[in-house]
Amino acid sequence: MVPDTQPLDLQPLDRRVRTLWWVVGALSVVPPTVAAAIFGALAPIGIGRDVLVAAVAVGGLVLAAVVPVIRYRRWGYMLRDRDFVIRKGVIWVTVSIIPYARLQFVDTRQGPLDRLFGLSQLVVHTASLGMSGRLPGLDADVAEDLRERLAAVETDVVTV
Amino acid sequence: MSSPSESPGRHTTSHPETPPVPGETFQQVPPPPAATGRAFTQVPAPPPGALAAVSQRLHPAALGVWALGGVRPLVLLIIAGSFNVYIALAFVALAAVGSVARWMRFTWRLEPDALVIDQGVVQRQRRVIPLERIQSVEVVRKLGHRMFGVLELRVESIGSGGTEGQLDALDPALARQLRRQLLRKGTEPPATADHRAPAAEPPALVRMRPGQLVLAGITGGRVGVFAALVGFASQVWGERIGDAVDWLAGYVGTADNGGVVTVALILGGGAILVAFVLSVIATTLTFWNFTLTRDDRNLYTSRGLLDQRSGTIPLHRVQSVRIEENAVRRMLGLAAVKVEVAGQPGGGSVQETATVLPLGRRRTAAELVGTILDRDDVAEVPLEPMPTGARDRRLVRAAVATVALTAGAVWWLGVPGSAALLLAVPLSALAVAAYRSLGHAAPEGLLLARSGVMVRTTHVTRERSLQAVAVTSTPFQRRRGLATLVLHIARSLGGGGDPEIIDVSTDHADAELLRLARASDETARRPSTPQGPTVRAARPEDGPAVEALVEASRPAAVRPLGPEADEALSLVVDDGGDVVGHALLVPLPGDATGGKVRVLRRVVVHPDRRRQGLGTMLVKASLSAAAQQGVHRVVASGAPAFYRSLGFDPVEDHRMTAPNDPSGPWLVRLLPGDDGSAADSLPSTVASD
Repeated sequence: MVPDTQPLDLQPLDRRVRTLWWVVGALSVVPPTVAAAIFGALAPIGIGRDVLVAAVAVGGLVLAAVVPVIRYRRWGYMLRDRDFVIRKGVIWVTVSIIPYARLQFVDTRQGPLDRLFGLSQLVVHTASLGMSGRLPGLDADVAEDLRERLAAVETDVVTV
Repeated sequence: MSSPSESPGRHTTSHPETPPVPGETFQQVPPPPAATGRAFTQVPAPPPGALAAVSQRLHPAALGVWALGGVRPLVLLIIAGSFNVYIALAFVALAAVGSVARWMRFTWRLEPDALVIDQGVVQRQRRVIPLERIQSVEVVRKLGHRMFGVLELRVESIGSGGTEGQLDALDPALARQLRRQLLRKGTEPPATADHRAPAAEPPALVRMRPGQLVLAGITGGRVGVFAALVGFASQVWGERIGDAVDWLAGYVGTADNGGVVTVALILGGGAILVAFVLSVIATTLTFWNFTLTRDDRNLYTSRGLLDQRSGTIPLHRVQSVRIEENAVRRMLGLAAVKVEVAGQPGGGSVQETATVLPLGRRRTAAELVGTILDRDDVAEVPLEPMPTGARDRRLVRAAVATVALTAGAVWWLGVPGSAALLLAVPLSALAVAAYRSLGHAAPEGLLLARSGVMVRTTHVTRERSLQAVAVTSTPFQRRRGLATLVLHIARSLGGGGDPEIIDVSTDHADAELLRLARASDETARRPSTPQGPTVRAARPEDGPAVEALVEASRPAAVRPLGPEADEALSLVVDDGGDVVGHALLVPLPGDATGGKVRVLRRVVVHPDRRRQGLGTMLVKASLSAAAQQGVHRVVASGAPAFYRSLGFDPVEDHRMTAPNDPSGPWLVRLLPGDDGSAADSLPSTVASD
């Protein structure tokens, strides 16, 4: 992987995003748990309903606790003089480099949970359908500053 | 945008006159009237009267074309047996009124830098397609168009999933003229180019004969699709097929096992035969009389039996070219070639539109790729194999699949199921074949990536087409020191994913990632006119030259600058030391927006150097400079068509009010930094030269 062999000094995301991911993860355990309860009630299976519900809930919570930690460690970004590096992924690890000169537009987005944590997402688009970089969990001010810096790069050099 | 620097030899072969458009094989269309053709041939710019920037309606035959399209539901109703004269009449009347309204409200016009389409009966919609964003143009002639002697023009530009501009019915001569004008932008030879006589029509690069189309149909992937459809149909009409089976069984006799097998063979064979026949028919209809030609700027395709299509793809818009060889074709040494162009509408048709060689010998395919990319070394480049770890990964996969299948078979059938272990042989063979099909190479400025076992695909991508680069890896890849290099290019929806170089060593991937990111950056920045004029900030010593230029340009209209000029940003166009253009970006007088709005003043170009795109260069450079300074909006007045082509809108569209000023309508360009907070009325003291 690049960061191991290249002196790419990647910056981590804001710590608060990990908390946000924990919250989202914990919330997303609820629907499968409810589904397990309903399934256990309607279709009696060998093991007891309570066991099933507990297994789903505990398994989900463990995942919800562990995945954000790994994800947070993997996430990193760096603004180099001519391009922008993003590393992400839990199982599939991807390191992308997007030259500023190829950016079509840069956006910041804030969902309700982001606002709650004072975070903001930065979204960059190139002319490639497959490449739209997204940086979740930046401090709202940092995101705004980044957006301005990226937008200030010459806008009309892009060729397709 | 064109990069003349890449092929300096091309300028000399460029011809200013209208090139003959090869690939036009619509025999039934009468040739355009001689007068129009000649006027156009001799005077490439300004555009001829028919294409002046005035709004035009579609050819009235559009009504007929739409009516034919609208008849279909009616026919379905009749077939369904629920035909009622009154309902039908009401339907027809409604459709007629709707069509006339649609026709009345649909206008298009060609501006110097954009195609503008106004449409919508109730909700008015204006679509401005800047010429420099047009990726390809297709002329379509369906049965309805043929009946009325008109053509349909489709303009694909980047930034959307669908066709951006569709003109349903145009006079054939006008359609072709318009197509040439649309693709003129950015491909024009520089003014200094050697003006030579146009070359004779180049010979076709590819011409498909009916026999080849039959072969393409038999060996094509459509067979599988149609086989699935035949299977589906046999489910739906199972009862009738059941009767046929009974009859067949009675005829052959099913007294013994041999009879049953015969019946099964006949049925299966019949279904497969039907699939093949359908595939051949579909391929023939789509690619009938397929021809591909190129001149120094464009690729021209033409194809189709019932619906005839002829596409024009500017060569510099080709993002990537790929050779596809499915398993059957590979055994026969055959291949197909497709190009990747951004902005094509999604769906199945994108594959057909992108095809530049439906079927040909492998060698022909490789040479065609070289011809399209202007490289003679593509066919010769040897592909490097991947590290053996890539093979081991695939063998492990085959082993895991064998074990899983065997376990399933044993659970299902008991001990005899263990025979499934024999699957290890074909699966390992497939794994090795998959490894062997992997390959990559990076000759100067190009990237070759080959992969796939059922359909082996070789992507050939120019480094300058890269929008971004990524390295991605799974835990299994990481364990073997492998990674996948993803080449992000501008492409169309539904045309497959971005090219990938699968399972290269991590060291190679990392080095390439950094190298290609740099290449992508540099090629985006390369000026399109390397020795030509450049825009730079004015220096003190430019003062006299700027004054002289302003005097020479608009002696009557120059107004003195106010105190805001002290903070002005002054840009000049420098052509080999001569100042030939000048623009000023000044703050709003008595600015209440805190510097978020700036005024573009004095965009002047030397009288001898007009119509060479210098004004556009100046405005773009001014916008970039303003964006860098954190400006949200730039306002300008005068020359509305010019400014609109550069993304300016009327100020009223963005909650600003214009001052009472005689210099023309005020327009505003929102910069990427705009957040809406700069909306304000412009002070009445603002003025423009």
